Amino acid sequence: MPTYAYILVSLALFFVGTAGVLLRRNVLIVLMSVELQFAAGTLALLTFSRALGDQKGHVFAFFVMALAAAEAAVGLAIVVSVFRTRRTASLDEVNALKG
Amino acid sequence: MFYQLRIIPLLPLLGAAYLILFGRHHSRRAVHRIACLAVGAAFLVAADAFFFWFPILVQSNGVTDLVGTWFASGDLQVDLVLRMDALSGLMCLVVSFVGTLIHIYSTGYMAHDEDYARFFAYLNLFCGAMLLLVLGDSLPVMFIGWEGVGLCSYLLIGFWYGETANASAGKKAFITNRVGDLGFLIGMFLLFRAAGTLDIPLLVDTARAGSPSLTATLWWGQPVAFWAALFLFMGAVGKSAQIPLYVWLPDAMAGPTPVSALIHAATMVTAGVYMVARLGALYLLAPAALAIVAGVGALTALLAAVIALGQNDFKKVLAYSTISQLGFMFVGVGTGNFAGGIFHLFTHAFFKAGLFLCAGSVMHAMAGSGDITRMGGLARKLPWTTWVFRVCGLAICGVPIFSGFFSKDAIVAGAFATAVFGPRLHWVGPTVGAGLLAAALGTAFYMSRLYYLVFTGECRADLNTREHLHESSVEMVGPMVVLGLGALLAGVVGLPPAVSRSHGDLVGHWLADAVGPALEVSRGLQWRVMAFSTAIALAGIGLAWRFFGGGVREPARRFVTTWPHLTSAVRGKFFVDEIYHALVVCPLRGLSRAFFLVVDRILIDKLLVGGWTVLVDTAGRLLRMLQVGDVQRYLAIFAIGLAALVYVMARPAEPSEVKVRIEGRSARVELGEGVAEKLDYGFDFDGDGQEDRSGAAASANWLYPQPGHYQLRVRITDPRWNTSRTIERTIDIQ
Repeated sequence: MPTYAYILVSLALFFVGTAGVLLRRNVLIVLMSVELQFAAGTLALLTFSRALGDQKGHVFAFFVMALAAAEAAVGLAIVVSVFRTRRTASLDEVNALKG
Repeated sequence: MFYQLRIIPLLPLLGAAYLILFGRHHSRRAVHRIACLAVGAAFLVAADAFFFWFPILVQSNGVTDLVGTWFASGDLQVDLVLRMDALSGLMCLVVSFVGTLIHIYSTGYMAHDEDYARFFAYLNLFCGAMLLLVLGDSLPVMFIGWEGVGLCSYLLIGFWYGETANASAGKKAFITNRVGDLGFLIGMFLLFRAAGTLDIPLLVDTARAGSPSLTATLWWGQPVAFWAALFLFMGAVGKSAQIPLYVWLPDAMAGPTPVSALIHAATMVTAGVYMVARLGALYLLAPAALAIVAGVGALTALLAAVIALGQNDFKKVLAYSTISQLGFMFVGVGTGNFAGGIFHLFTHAFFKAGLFLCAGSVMHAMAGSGDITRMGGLARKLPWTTWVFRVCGLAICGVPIFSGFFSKDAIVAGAFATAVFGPRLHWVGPTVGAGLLAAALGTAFYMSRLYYLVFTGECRADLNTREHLHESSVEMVGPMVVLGLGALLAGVVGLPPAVSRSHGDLVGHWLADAVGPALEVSRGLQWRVMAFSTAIALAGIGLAWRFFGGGVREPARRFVTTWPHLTSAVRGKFFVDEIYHALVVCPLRGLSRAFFLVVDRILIDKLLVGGWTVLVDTAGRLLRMLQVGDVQRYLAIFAIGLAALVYVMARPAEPSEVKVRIEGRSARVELGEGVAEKLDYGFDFDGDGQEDRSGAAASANWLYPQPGHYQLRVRITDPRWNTSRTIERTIDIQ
């Protein structure tokens, strides 16, 4: 399959993730969408890595996965903490920082 | 022995500075010792300098002390230079001598005042400023003294600022003087423009030489000298309380009495007369200006003498008397009789300061009240004060052998004899002379009225005050007696030549070099004037005795009932204050109010200050809508911003330079370094929308078929993103 097909998939994945982050109200789903964006980025890295015959992209993909895991751990911890204090997991209702 | 003249004003100024800075930490005794010492030492130095240099002073331009160049700008160089000649030396002696006496008097008069140090600091400051005014040999230096004494006058009139009336009297004096000072400044400017200098000796020499720069016509057919003299006289009118700016002086009586004696009678108010005498040569060039000076002086002398007839406040009577006597002096200098005017200034300093000190002594005894309707019979309780008042009163009335007699007659005789006005204005002299004789009658009358109502008859004060009556302490009586002696004897320096062949008119001889030769008055005229003015003085005193001897008598009551309107007009000071209030103060206040409402309230408060707050407030309201606390909206904005950034970054950068070289009809465009590689360029040289050259080259040539005005357009495209930028230039082909 040609390179641009992978890139198109990556792009589509990224836009789906972005839409999820911007539009969904449930914190858990937003976090999952962030993971989708990560996945899109990783896919692009791998695609270019293969297309250019350079191993750096592969190495970087591992970094992204490790980072995503750490992000998920911190993110979920925050979600749990917010849920404990505010009894909600909806982003609509977590809006104390406003002007 | 050699003194520098700068010591004379410096001593009181240093005293003032010390007292202002550290006076509060000293005892009363230390304060008045410092103050009296400062001004007393100034007097001693001045006297020593005066008598040491006396031969030089009266025969030449005197001695000068150049402190240094004050400022120089373009053609204008102003030196801080002091000069003592016969005129300024005499003034110096009067100022420092009377100043010293009044400092001593004040130690008694102000003994119970809380602001002791402040009072003496101001008095010292005044003496320093006045000495600077007198000694200053350049108009700007004189002006500094002029403003300095004005400031001290303001400070001392409002010395008891706790009462609004006193504070506003101070403001009135200051503001009225501002009007005059504007004239003084304009006069200085005119003189500088015409003569190119502000040094008094140079100006006087220029004027004596009749230089065309001063006699050239300026406005309305009058020469520069006339206008300069007139504007300077405007300053004198303010400072010396003449019509129309005299209204501040009666109100200035709100200050402590020693201040009234020193500043508002003996010294500061005579500064105008001094200035006119100093620049006498300039005035002599413009007879019309002299006529105005004399006319204003005579009118003021008459008007103030009439108003003084109807006043019931001790110090108010003396204040109008001062205005009237200043009018006499202006007639003196206005008829070219400068020595006569200065002679009257000299004697007046003694007898008027003496009268004011008597007023202070009486008011001290009367528990601060100056209402003469509540006095009477004080001669028995205050013998010293009464004697001093008698001597000074007779002097001002113009009774022979007292000093005022000689000085007043010198002015009146000079007015009849003068020839300075020339043929067209020759009537001015006799007219103002006659006016002065009428004013002299009024003077004798109001002064005797004051004497009879205060010192003779039965006491009309309440019992409490009556028991409290006492003669003042020795430090108050002492200076009064000295001034009384001065009032008695000061006339010897100016005896009419008709009386004393060998010692006649000493003042005139002394001042001859400073202000020009003394006026020639025939012996017959001198005798006639003396006889006539003696008769007038005695008539005035006699008339006052008929009206007020031993209290208000029947003829006085009958006069009031026969002429009720006249009496109330005189008592109301001809309502000049009210007229000024309606004509000047009210319109000005209205204008200020209008400006306040339009400029301050609307323009500044509403539009400028309020406008900005509204703007900021609205911006804040609008911007807070973005700040809703919803993370997802922030993210959306972030995403949009990022997209915009990517778009902008993706455009090809602006080339570092665009060089367009034209040679004849060929043009070459070169784009500078720094642009990204692998860009695509398009050049449209003649502005027809078609690209004439295109490709990867960053430069292109073109030959124009004909000269003209062309629009050059360069397109730069980045093929990776298909983004482009366009640069436009206009070029001229000859």
